[in-house]
Amino acid sequence: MNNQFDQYLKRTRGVKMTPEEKEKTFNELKARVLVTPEGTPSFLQSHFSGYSFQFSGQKVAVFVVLAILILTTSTSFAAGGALPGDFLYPVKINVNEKVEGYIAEKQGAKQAFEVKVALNRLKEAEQLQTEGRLDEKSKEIITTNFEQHAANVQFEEGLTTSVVATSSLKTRFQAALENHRDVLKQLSNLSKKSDKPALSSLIMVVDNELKVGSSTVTTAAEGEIKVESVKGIDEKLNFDGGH
Amino acid sequence: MVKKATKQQFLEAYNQYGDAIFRYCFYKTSNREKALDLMQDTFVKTWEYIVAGKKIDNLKAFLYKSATNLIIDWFRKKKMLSLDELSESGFDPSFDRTDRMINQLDGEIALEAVNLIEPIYRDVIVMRYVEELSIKEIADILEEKENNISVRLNRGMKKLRQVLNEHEQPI
Repeated sequence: MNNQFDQYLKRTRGVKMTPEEKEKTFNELKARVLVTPEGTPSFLQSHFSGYSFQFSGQKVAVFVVLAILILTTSTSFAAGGALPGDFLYPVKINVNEKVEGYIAEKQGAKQAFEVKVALNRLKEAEQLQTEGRLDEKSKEIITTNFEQHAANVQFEEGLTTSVVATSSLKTRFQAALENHRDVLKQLSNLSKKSDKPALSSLIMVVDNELKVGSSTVTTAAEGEIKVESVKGIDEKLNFDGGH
Repeated sequence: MVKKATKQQFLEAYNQYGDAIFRYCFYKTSNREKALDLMQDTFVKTWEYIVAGKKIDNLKAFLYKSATNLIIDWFRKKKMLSLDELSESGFDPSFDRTDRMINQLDGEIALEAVNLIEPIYRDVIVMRYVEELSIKEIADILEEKENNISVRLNRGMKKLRQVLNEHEQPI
């Protein structure tokens, strides 16, 4: 029996993937791994990423303790890496970003701030998708917030000192949107069927912003040419002594 | 977010354990395509777990446990579908050796001997002797006590000897 069993074991252990099958799966896993952002997960990401907002009697006590912590600036800092669905995500968007926006406005950099926040929403969507946590609810939060800030980029002239600077910022924003759209498409290709609708609708939102953006960049460019033409005429008149 | 080193370790783990997980899934499902899907899903789920920042003490055991859960889910879905079809035709889906013996006619007949004994013994024998997992790892994966696994292994080997003697397997 030992001989029979040994032979049986030898044949059974020989069951394996073909090199092609193994490589195909490896490439698919590698693509998924490569789109995951690199860095060290924050303490909160590792310990609270699965925390839900449904409170039970036991969790209320935990919430009271955390509420005290939220009042400190260190918690506000910690909320910086939170994602939709995380406990401190409301702190991130309602406190951190509001304060940052106010300061940016005072410093004449409101539009750059709007670009940063809009792109942060897309990064959050990508992070959630790689963690398998992008659901309808988090997609709605991300989409609404992204659209709001993207609209501010496209239509708010802000306190930038020149039309040229605005146009440059918008052009860079467009380029970043294209990159994020490509990443989202790649994630969609790798995703399960059930995840595809949420990703598809987010990709459509980004596409819409790209279409809107291409028209406002053109408008800004035309404005830039117009402004420079006017300057040229003024200089000529001065050179000619006002004639 | 994950560290670069973690990404490399994960891909190395696939190279190291990919075949073993595939073999395990194939042994459980007797279907190559399904085994490939389940194996890939196992690694995808494990990656999602890592990206969520959760800790894994023993990656090998974790992979087997994930594969086991996915296989159970698949069987449940399959059972729901096949029970509906079978009940219409009046078939009684009790433990039946026929399907397993039919596998002998396949090119891939390596697993037929062990398939002729009860699943409770079959699983531990395959995990111990084919996958070369330790008693401790098997206990962890199946969420049983180590002593129970040892006893089951012992009884399973006796039953396997009986089956091999009865069928005079030319292996």
